[in-house]
Amino acid sequence: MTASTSGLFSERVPEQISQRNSKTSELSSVLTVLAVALTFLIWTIWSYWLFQYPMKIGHDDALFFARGIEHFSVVEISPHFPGYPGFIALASVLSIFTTPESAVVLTSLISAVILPWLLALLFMELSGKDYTPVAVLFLISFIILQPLLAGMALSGLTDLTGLAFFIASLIGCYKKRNLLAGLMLGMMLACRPSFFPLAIGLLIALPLITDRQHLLTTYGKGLLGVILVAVPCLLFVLAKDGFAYFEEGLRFTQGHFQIWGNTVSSSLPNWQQWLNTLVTAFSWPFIAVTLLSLTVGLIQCSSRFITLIIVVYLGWILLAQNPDNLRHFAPVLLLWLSVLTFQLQQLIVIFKTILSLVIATVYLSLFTSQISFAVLDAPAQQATDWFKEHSQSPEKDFNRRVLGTNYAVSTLREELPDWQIYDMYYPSSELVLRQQQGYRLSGTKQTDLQLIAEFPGRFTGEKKLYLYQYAKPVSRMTGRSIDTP
Amino acid sequence: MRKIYLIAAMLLSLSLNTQAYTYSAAGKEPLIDGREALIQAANSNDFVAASKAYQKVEEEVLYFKQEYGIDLDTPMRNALKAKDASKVTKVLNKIYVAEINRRLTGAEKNINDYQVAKVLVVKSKLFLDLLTPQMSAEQREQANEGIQGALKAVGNPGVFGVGAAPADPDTMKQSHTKLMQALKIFQ
Repeated sequence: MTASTSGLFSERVPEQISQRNSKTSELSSVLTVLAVALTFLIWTIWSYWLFQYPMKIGHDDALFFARGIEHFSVVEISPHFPGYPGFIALASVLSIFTTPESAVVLTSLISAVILPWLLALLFMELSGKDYTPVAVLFLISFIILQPLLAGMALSGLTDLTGLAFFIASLIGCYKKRNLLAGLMLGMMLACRPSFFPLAIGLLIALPLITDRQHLLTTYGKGLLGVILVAVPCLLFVLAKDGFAYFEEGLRFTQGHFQIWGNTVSSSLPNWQQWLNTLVTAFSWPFIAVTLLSLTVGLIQCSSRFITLIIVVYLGWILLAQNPDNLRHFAPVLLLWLSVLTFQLQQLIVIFKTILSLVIATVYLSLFTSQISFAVLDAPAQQATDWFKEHSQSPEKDFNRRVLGTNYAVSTLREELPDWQIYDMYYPSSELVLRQQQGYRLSGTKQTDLQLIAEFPGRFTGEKKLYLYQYAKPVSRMTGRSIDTP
Repeated sequence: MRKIYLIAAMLLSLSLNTQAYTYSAAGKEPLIDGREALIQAANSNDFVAASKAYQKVEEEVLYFKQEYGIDLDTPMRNALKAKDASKVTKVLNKIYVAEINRRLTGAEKNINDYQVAKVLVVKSKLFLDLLTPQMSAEQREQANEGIQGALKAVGNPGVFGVGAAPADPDTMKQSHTKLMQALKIFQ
């Protein structure tokens, strides 16, 4: 009996274990399918939402890129120095199907929708084979829920395209496809040369994932890849502008250092201004979590490579980038999210689930509070439309079509050819506006002018613009308004 | 060593992006810096400061007299003496027209030297950009057509002959004339 019972037992136990394993495996498969489906669903909804926005230009740089598609000449600021030949090439391909203006916005938009998957691939490389689809779901959710990406997607600027190529380069490094990694790095520099500190970070961190005996070959192949992109780009630029290109480079460089580059209004050190900007956009706990996570990332062997690149770039922006432009922080934020997900994955199930949900909820609240879901144009474009609409009205004020602005000067000149658009960079413009009771488009609140309209920013980092009108000048003698000719 | 500094500075400049800027701002141009200082001072009724600002660009203005026989120095001195801010602005506009003319004449003469001709036309556009807001839509269009024509007329060097476009002296002359006609309102 005992024997038989024991025999029965000994037969039953493996059966139960097998059944339990089978159930666990089934549950795991269901969870995997659910996670994958949910990931695609979230990404599709997000992409669909972004594609609902008008493909219009709201930034002068984007206008210069669109001009570069039609006629490339850096000397003619078409586009501006250093020319961004990689980005122009990609946008030119898309311009086969649409206008150059839309092609530029479409290029940044496509880069944005590809980016979450590239970061997911990077996360998978970072994790080895030890990752779950639920972790990928959380990573994609973190990425698309943070409020910075949407605005950059519709900017028509080069940040996200450059970043997409950089992430592709990192994946190439992990896979030991060094020539490919070099080509991608070259494309990053051809699309967004100002990401060169990321390239420097990669050069510094590369020994962390490369055997010492293969290090020279790795650098060599990578350099070859960069050269294979750089040489055609340089030849292209020289073919269009000749050595006048270098002359424009000098003017541009001089301008940045001595004229228009020095516009940071605060007297605080750059890093402190960045801190204020980040606290306003993301809050103190976010800063604390990021710093803690980056410190752990540097300590941990497996994530040290990416974390070191992030830290090098973070140091660069804190020292030398303009805190007015939150988009400069995007490479740090997006790369860090893969590191954060990797770190969360290493916690025990209960902790990682709770923490992931908390982070997703925080991002969701940031996303909903900082993004206007109304499908609007960029603020400068809203202003353009406002003028076009109101120019038709018989109001006396519009007989004088005089407008001064610091924002999108070239875009407004192109869109409103009947208007006299003054560049407020020149102090004399202010005098003309005062004399002619002109309009003033400003990113800051003015207390001494009459507010006419407001054009809200759609996303974090997109500045709200205010439209003012100057009052008639008052005679010192009579105290009455003077009618100017 | 200087070259290394220059390259480093160029690299740095790539990343110093700002929001309230104008890439097409002229760069270091004495006549543009001087114009701003002069207009500001004259409109604040500070003609001592205005005269001092004029002294900084006087050399450039006298150059027109010496080389082209265009005397803009006397009208400017008269405007300053009369403490007439609007006249100061008018003479400044004339100086800009003369500057554009000078550069385009230079581009015409150097039409076969791509580098020189292109830079001269591009620099003349920087001055033109400060005058166009004061023009009517039609005049502005004509001026833009003129400057675009001049840019096209310079041609393209290409690389080892690939993508090269020859310079077109006739188009350059016509574009120059067209532009100067549009600028007649400042005379």
